Amino acid sequence: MIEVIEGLCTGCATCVPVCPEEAISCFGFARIDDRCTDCLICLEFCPLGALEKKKVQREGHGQARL
Amino acid sequence: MVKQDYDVLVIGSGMGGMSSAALLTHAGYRSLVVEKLPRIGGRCSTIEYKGVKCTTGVIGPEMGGVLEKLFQDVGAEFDVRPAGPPHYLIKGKILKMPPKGGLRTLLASATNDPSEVERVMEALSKALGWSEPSKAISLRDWLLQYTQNEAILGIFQTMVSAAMLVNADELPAQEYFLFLKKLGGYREFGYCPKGSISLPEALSKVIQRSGGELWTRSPVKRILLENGVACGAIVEREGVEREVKASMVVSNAGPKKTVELVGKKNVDKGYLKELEETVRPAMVICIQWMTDRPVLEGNYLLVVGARRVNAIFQPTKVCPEIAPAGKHFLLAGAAPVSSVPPLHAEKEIELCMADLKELFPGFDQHSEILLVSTFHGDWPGFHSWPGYGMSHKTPIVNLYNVGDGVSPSGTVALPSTVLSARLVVEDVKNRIQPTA
Repeated sequence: MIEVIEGLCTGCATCVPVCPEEAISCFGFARIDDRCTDCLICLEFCPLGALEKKKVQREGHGQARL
Repeated sequence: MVKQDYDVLVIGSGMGGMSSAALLTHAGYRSLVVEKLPRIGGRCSTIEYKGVKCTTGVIGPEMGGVLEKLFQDVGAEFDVRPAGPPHYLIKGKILKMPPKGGLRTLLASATNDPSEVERVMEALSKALGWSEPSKAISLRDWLLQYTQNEAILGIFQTMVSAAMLVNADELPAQEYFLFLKKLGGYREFGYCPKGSISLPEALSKVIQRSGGELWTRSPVKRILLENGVACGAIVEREGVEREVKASMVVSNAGPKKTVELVGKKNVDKGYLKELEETVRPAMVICIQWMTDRPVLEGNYLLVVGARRVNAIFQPTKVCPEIAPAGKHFLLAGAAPVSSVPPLHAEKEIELCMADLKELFPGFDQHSEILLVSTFHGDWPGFHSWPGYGMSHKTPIVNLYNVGDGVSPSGTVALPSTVLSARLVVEDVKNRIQPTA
C-alpha cells in the first residue's frame, strides 16, 4: 500500500486521475483505499513527494515485516 | 559522475522557468531546464481525467498582455480563446457587463443610493489618478471610509479574491491599485482548447528548436557553489546523479525551496529573515466538474456574496474539445475565509459545495465531480501574496528566483511569472554573453 505523508500533502488532487485503479480520492487530503496495487505511478506525479510506499506491513499476528 | 555544461540551468518547468528558458535560448544562451515530475508546467498543466482536460491550477491565462507578448517575442504559438466579458451574480440577479462603465453599473446594482456610487467611484479615480493609498491599510478598510454597504464591499471581495487569491481585508489597498494600473485588473483572459499545458509546451518547442534542452523526471539534489557563487547543480536523471555545470542558475522551485537546495548555512541571514517575514503562500480552492447540460449563459460568472465560491468558469462553451462530446466542463474558484494558515480544508470544501448546490439547483443529479483541489503551503495558489514577493535576485551570486514567489508589485498569476522571468533574463544578459 501507498501511504500519504501527513504534513506534506496539500490536497492538490494531482494523484487522483493518474491512478489506474481509481484508488485515490482527495478532499483536502489524499486518501488511498485497498484497490491500490502498489504500481507507484502516483509517487511519480506528486509534486511534493507526499506519497510513499509503506515500509512496514502488519501481518495477521500483529508482527511487523520489512 | 557525468558532467554537462550550460550557460543557464533552470530548475523547474513552471511558467516562470519555461518563460526564462524560452527567452534565454531564443537569445542564444545554452539552456537546460530540469523538471522533477514526468509532466511539464507545474501548476500550469493538464491532467486528462474521464475524457476531460482538467487543470493542475491555471484556469484562464491573460490575453493581450505581457504573457501573450512573451509568446510573440519568442515565436511560440499562443493557443488561447477569449472568454469574453463576465456576468456577475449579485443579490440573486445576473448582471451582464457592458463594454464600458462596467464598475459603475455593478456598483449601481448594489445600492439604491446614486450618491454612494459616486462617492466610491470618486475615491477610486482619485487613487488611480493621483496616488495609491497606503500599503498599511487593507483594501476593505480603505473602502470602508467611503461605504459600509456589504454588497459593494462584496463586489470588491469577489474581484480581488478571484484574481489575486487573497481576501479584501488581507490585500494592501496600494497593491490593488498597482494591479489595476499594471495589469488593468486582468480584464481579458481566455481558455486553452488543448488545456493549460499547451502554454509550457509551446515554450518547450521554442527551447528545443533553439538548441536548449528539457529533462523531465530529473530532480535537483542540490545547487552547487564555487567560492560562494552558484555554478550548477547535482541533478538525478535515470537513476544517475549528474553534475550539471552552468554559469547561471535560475530556480522556479519557489524561494523557500531554493534556499533548501542551496543550503541554509550558505545564505545571508538577513535574506532568511526577510523570507520568513515576507513570503506567505496564497490559498485557493478549485472544484472541477462535468455536466450533461450547460449551466451558465455566459463563459464565466463572478459570484458576489456567496459563502466561499467567487467565480465559475465554463470553458467548454468556447473550447468544446476540452470535454467529451455533449458534456460540459466547469470549474469553481473559491477563497478560504482567511489566507493565513492553517487551512481547514474539509470545512472550507463543505462550504464551497453548499454554494454550488445553491447556485445550481439539481447540482447533485446533473454533475459529476472530477477534482477537488486545495492549493496552499508548498503547492499554493501563488508562492506569495500579491505585494509580498521577494526579489528575483538571491544573495548567492548567479542564483535567481523566478515565478509567483518573486512577483513584481501589482502583478499576479501568469503575468507575474512572465515579468519575473523578464527581470531575470535582463540581468543575465547584462552579466554574460551567450557562448554559442
